[in-house]
Amino acid sequence: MLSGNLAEFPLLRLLEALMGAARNGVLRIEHPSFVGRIYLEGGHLVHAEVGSLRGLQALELLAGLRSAPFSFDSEPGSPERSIEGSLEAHQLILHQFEAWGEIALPDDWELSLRATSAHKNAQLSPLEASVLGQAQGKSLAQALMNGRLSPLETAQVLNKLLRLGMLEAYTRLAIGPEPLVVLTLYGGEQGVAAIDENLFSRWQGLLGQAFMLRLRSKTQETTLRPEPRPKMQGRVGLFERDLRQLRLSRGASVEVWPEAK
Amino acid sequence: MDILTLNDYVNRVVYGEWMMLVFILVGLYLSLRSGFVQFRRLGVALSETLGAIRERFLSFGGQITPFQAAMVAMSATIGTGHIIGMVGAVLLGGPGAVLWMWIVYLVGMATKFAEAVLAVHYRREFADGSVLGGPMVYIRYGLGPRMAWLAALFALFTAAAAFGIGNLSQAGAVGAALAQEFNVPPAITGLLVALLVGFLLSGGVRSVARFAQVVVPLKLAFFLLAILPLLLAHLEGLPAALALVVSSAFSFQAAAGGFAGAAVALGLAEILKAGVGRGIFANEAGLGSAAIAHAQAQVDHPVRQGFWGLTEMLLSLTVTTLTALTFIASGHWQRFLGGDRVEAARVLFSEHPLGGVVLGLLLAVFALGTMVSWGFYGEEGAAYLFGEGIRWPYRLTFATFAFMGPLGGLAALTSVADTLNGLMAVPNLIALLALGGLVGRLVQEFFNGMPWQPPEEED
Repeated sequence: MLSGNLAEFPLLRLLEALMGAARNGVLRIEHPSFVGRIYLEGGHLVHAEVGSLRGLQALELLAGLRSAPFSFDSEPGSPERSIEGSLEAHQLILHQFEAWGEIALPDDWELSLRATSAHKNAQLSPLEASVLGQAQGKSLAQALMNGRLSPLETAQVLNKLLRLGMLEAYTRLAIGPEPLVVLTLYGGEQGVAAIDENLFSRWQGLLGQAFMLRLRSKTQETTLRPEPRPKMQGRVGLFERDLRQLRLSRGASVEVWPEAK
Repeated sequence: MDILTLNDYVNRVVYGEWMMLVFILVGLYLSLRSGFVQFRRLGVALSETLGAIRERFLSFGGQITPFQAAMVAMSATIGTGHIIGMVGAVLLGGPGAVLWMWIVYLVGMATKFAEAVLAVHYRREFADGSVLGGPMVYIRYGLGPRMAWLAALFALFTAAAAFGIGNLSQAGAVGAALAQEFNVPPAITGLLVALLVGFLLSGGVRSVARFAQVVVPLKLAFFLLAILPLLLAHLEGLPAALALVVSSAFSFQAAAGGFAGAAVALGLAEILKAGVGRGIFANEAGLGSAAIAHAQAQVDHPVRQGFWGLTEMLLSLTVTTLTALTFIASGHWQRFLGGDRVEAARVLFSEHPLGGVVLGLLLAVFALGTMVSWGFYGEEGAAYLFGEGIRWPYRLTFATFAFMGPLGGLAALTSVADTLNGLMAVPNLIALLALGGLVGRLVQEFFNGMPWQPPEEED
């Protein structure tokens, strides 16, 4: 059984090798978010599937993967046929790979997406606005798989939105939110949340890298820069301007959690 | 010169005009260094304290919350002096004394603020989470090892003075009130007070704080229940009382209304002394006692605890003012001018719908709260001097004195303790003067959003 990682054997080269050797079997690609299967018969692509995507659309998604473990099993036959063996289809597949080459999405499709404040003032086309709305809160993989557009078209729009800073990709962690009480900090600063130095160290230890703080109140959610301070147990210190903007006051209960930068 | 003559001499000095002037000058200096925080940041102070009252049980990780620390301080401060002492000030200085008292309170707010700020800034924290702080600590670590003797002196004065102002005087007041109103034998009162105080002190700062957070609201509620019906009864006299406070601030003459029907003429010096004296000694700002309580608060920045000092002063000012205005509006002050303050207070409160029993209960609650907090202050002073081993012997001695208080007969000891209480101000005011710049810097840093940098701990 042939196995490896797409980071070492890009999918296009792998398929060309399998097709050139006229292999029968299934190429299984295991991404943390999904499992993709590409079936070959006599060196011809006959079927591809990823979640609910079938045929060329499934292949289109898999063509964008830059890293994922794969294995090729020569035994099973294809359960269905979704790709024609025509020259046209072959060219279309090549075009997909070329198009992905011009897209610079993050390699990690587990990253979550969220709109930034920049999108509020920007002129977005209806298509871009629709993709942005659908991607909000989802992982990159989910956004690509479940969009109304094809994965490649979705990727192109997402690429533009990320490049323009209207969308940002971040690591969603399994660290639970910490219930904290708001404390007023005085001064002209903005965008800073002071948390207890022990909590800061704990989160930094868990993440192993610099992080931002996500703060959720009853009405809204925002991202702030963390600042460790002594004797802040159970509190999160916010500057007056942020308090006004977030419509919060001293003593308000909020939830705070870290997000890797 | 025997010890009592010496005591009388020192007592006159520490409670005299020159010392009052020092209190005021230090207060003005601290007002200046802190940017007149008591006026310019009063709104912030109130929102950080009374405005955040729902957070009263929310700790920053320490043994007691900032609210509880403030309650311990307030429990000591708001005592019988706010009623009997205030009545006495009007009898000595006339209604005009109240105006001077107000002015001194406003200056003293900066002093109390600075004490709380420095107490938190320099306090020592131990591995078990306990804290030692107060003027003795900020003198020692703020002024350096060469001034350790001054810190020790403050601790000594505090440990000894607690037996007078915080024990014998208060227990005596409780005993007298309960004997007068309910015919409770002084020995029984002494026993009950000693058991209560001993029990509360044995639980350490947490127990004292838990008691204070109940007793202070109780004190204020009792006070309002006692004073408001009297104020309402004399409401028509209130505008005239206020006018009199202002018009008689510089001189006062009563044709034949004074004690025993004598004509009374009060000069500025007498009015000032009565008003300023009340403005200084009723709220303990400058004595340094409240700083011992504030030091216990765990808080992210010393200035935040300083705001509790300001609020403490405002509440104290409210109590003394309500007492004074009610007393003046009632008109009784004219009859007792220059006379017995206890009798005058008794006559005032006899008009209450519930009768004179109200004053007795009020004094008993006020005195009990003061005793427990002062017991803690004294214990902290003793612990600073002699180490942790002194705590239990001190508590037992304090409880024993609490038993003896209602029995009376310790006038000389009370007088010496009273002098030592006044002497506490000397090292404290020196330290406040020396560390005023630091207070100003901490205020500036706080309002610039900068985090607190505690001083390096040295052995």
